[in-house]
Amino acid sequence: MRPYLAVFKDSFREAFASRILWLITGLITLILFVGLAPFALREETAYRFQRNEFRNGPEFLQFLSSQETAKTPSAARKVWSRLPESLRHRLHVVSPTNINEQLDVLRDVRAEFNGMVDNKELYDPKLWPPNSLTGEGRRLAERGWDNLSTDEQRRLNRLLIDAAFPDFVLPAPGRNLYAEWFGYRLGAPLPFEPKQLTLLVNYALAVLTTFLAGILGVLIAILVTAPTVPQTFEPGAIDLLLSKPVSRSLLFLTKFFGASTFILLNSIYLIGGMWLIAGLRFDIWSGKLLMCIPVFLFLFVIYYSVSALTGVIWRNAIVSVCCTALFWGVCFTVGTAKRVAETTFLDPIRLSAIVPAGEKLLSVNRSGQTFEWGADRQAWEEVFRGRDEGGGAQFFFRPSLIGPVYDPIHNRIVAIESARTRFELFGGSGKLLIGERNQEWRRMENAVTPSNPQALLIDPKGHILVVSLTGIFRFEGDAKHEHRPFKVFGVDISPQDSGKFEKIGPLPEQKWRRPFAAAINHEDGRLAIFSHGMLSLITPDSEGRYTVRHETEIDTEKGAVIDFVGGRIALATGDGHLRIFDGASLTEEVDLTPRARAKPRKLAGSPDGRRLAELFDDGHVWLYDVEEQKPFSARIGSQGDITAIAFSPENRLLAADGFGRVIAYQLDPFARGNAYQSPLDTLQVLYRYVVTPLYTIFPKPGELNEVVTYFVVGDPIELFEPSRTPKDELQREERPPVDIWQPIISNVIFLAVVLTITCVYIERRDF
Amino acid sequence: MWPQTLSAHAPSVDLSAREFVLGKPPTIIVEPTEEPIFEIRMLDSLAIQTRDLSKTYRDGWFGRRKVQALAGVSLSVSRGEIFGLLGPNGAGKTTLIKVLLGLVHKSSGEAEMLGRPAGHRPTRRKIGYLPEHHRIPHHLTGNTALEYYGGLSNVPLREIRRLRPKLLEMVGLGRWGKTLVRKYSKGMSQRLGLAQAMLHDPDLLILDEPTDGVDPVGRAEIREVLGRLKSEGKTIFLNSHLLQEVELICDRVAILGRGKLRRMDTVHALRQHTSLEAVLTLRADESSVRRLLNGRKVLAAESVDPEHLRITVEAADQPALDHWIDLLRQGGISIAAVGRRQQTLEQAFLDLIMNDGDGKEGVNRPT
Repeated sequence: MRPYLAVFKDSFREAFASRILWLITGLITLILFVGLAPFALREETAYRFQRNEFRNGPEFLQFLSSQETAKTPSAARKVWSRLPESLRHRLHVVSPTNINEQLDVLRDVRAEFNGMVDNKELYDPKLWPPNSLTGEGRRLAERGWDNLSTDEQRRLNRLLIDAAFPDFVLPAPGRNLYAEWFGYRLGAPLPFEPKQLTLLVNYALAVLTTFLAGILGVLIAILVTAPTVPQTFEPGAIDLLLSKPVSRSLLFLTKFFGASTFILLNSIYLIGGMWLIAGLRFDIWSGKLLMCIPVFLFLFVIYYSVSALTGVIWRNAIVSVCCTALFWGVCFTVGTAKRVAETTFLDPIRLSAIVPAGEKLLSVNRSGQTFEWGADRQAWEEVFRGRDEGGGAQFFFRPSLIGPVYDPIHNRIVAIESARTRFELFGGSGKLLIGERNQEWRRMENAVTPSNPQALLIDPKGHILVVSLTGIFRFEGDAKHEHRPFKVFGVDISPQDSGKFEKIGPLPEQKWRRPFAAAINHEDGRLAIFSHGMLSLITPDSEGRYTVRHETEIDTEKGAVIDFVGGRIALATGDGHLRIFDGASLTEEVDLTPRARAKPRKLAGSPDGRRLAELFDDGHVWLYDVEEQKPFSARIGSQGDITAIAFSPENRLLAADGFGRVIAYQLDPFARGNAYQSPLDTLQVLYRYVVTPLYTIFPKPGELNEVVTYFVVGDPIELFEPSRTPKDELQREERPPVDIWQPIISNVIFLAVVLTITCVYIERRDF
Repeated sequence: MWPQTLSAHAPSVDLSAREFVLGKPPTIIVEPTEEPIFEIRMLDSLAIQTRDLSKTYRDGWFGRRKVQALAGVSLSVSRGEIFGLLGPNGAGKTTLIKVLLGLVHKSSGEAEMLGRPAGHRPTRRKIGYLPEHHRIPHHLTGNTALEYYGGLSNVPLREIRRLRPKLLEMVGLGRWGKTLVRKYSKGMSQRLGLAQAMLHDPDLLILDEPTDGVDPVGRAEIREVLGRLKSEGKTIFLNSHLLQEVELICDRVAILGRGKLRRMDTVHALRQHTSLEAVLTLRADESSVRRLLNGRKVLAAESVDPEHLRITVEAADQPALDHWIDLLRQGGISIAAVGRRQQTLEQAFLDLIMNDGDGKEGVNRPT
């Protein structure tokens, strides 16, 4: 043992004799004490309007301008009346097609709103009835202006303006967070809520750690340690060492881990320092951050193993560094090729929905293209194509499509193409799209939907229902012919002869919030709606008007997917729970966590009400026997790569995999049925038979960074998709599941193989 | 490993029945047999022994080019002697040492050190080695280098610290222990290398060019150290180009040429054996000798005194010498003394090497 301890000790002597070590230590000290320690986050009451708190900009400006001609007093008109005359005029004349001009006006409106928060005269109880205000707003209003502090007065006015424009102004967060450095405030408030402080700090730590330790640190460490092995094995030095009673392999491994330990000490200093600063400054003692130390050491060790192997063979530090850089490049190229192929080319053409349409089978890919299975050609054939589309997947600017859903009464499919883009400021309503079977599913545009459509449903009578945040709407009018909306002020307007959406409830009036999910019972038209932790059962009367019958609170702030399964309601939430409620009383019958770490993407109840299938974001499907109240075991293929599920009218489970193949499974008794798959194209063949095997073989050092983020933050999506953002977190399409073991296992195997090769080489070589 | 040398038809030896006692030579139990035992020789008295040792390096792509560095070398070094290994560059001297230490894998044959197969790890604990172009890491000082190499030889730190001053003093680095090795001259580095080789009190010292770069005073000091070690019963295996030094301190010498052992003997015998000239002291006047030997090749002639003349002639072997003696006696010249001309080791070495085949240099190690 003593000889190896001597080698180990010498590694430290060598390190401490290195000037670079002291340079790095100085750099780390500078980062910790000058860069990070002076950082602070300060909380303030949120009353100022921020640029990103407006949505549907053109509609908002139009709505504000329309207050001039409003005949009845309203909160919106009151706010409009407080705007200066010049701005009201600009609202009137702003060009509907000039986005820059609209942005200018919107900026001025925001500035005026910010000035208005000090206006004592704004509140009028008649215009802001208590039910239009949030609980906080009601409490502040009841206390009276004079009994409020300045911050509270401003907060009240902010809430009043929010309530005046619920469709256009995002609800104000309670408190704003500001970043400060050496006491100086750094710009606008952070787009995070104070309750996200821990998540935010942890995320910042993860990003910083990844950059400082995972990228910069590893790079420097490779440069610093590259000469160690070549110097040890150079002629004259190795002769002396191997003449001693030591094993060649153990000598190498001791030297290798000696250098690694030196890097470990630096990592401890850097990450430990960050951990201390986060603890002392923000009182966030993230123990998981310390777990990153071994992860980064592991990351370094992988690169260093390559450096050491080449160092032993060529005994040249420069060659070692070059080979390590080459290795990094190959890993990066393989990983990037896979990721680019997936996100840019394969994801858009992966199936996101399966729509059994009578005797036909339709599917939708992530680009919004709809396909029908062509039994003759044994291939998916595109149908329901838009008039302006040239065919082919939309890789970069995908239309946001709700549906299509199949209407068995009229033998047609219906969808909503949302006008909103990824930029929420310029978005709002959608267009109703209808395709009839007897017209080969030709897409026909029809009426403009209400603002912010959330769900598209078909009731048992074949009525088209659109659920938005403000209510339930039924399409009335001609659905047989096309009635293309036209644009006015940049906004889609329904033509006179098109159908209209009539509000059919619910009563009492509801203001739903996201996260949102809705489902309909195809037997009796009951609706189950999940809105921000509240599950509502809404039933239609004889005229089809909806009334809220029952409500129950769900203890979650996460998103959800929902479906009817027979007479029951199944609700799967982002926190991993699957709850089944009685469909009449909303009594909870079952609460399960089938795959706690995965998030639900789709729920599907079988038409006979016996089976429930849940698809998770990690591509797994889980089956549940609702009647016997126990999981149902079935050998579903392509588990881990399933992108869509549905039940056919014959109660067969349809599951689509990542290569666009849909397989039908009979569940009673279990049997695999037909497969519906087009021949693979060149890209898919390359991906399947070249990129994927290469990726499997190669180590994945880059993925360890994701492991670090997962360790420290959990799922970072929760930081960027808080409940007040419009996009439902569960509807995200590209969310690679974080599997921390896969990269660790693959990298451990790689490390073991490289070290073994090195040891065998050393044992066999003549020195 | 071959603890005994057995001739053909040797009796079977139950190796599993060996009994090893720490610090004592192994006892070998030989089963009784009717077959005569021609030779069973215990080699425990030998520090180094090789038999038909060969090493072929493979070079180039896929190792297709072969370079033979050792070709059937058989030699033995007794315990307690100073043994010199000589040979021109590329003769295979360093390869031989590396095979003995296990740094290079032999291709065929057998090699043993201190009774164990060459390269045997625990045995290396008893061996001190100074490589020809050793490189001590530059971040070490004289003191920490001895700590490092002593630790590698499994010497406790306390023991190293106790021995260190004395050792450094012995090799002339008493004042340089705290100085970084990178500031050492070539000679100082060589002295430190010698110190690390002696630190763990080895039974066998293998020194490859120990005085390389060392000044004459230093060389004398190193010679003195080696002499002292010999008096302590240590075995020293010395590889050096400085033949005068080898001549001064070695008991026996082996000469390698192109991977083969050319000669192995005592220094004295080597000098004698390799001489091709005879010196005859004649009791006669110069003119009569000149007359008698007219037309024959006389290498040198000098008058010793008015009555004696000394001549040097070529006489590679005894018949040649007898021929000269017969010739002189037939001419009536009295011969006062006959002897071989005494050579220096260098002359003997050069004679041997220059007469060795085509006289080309050997091979260089591919590494």
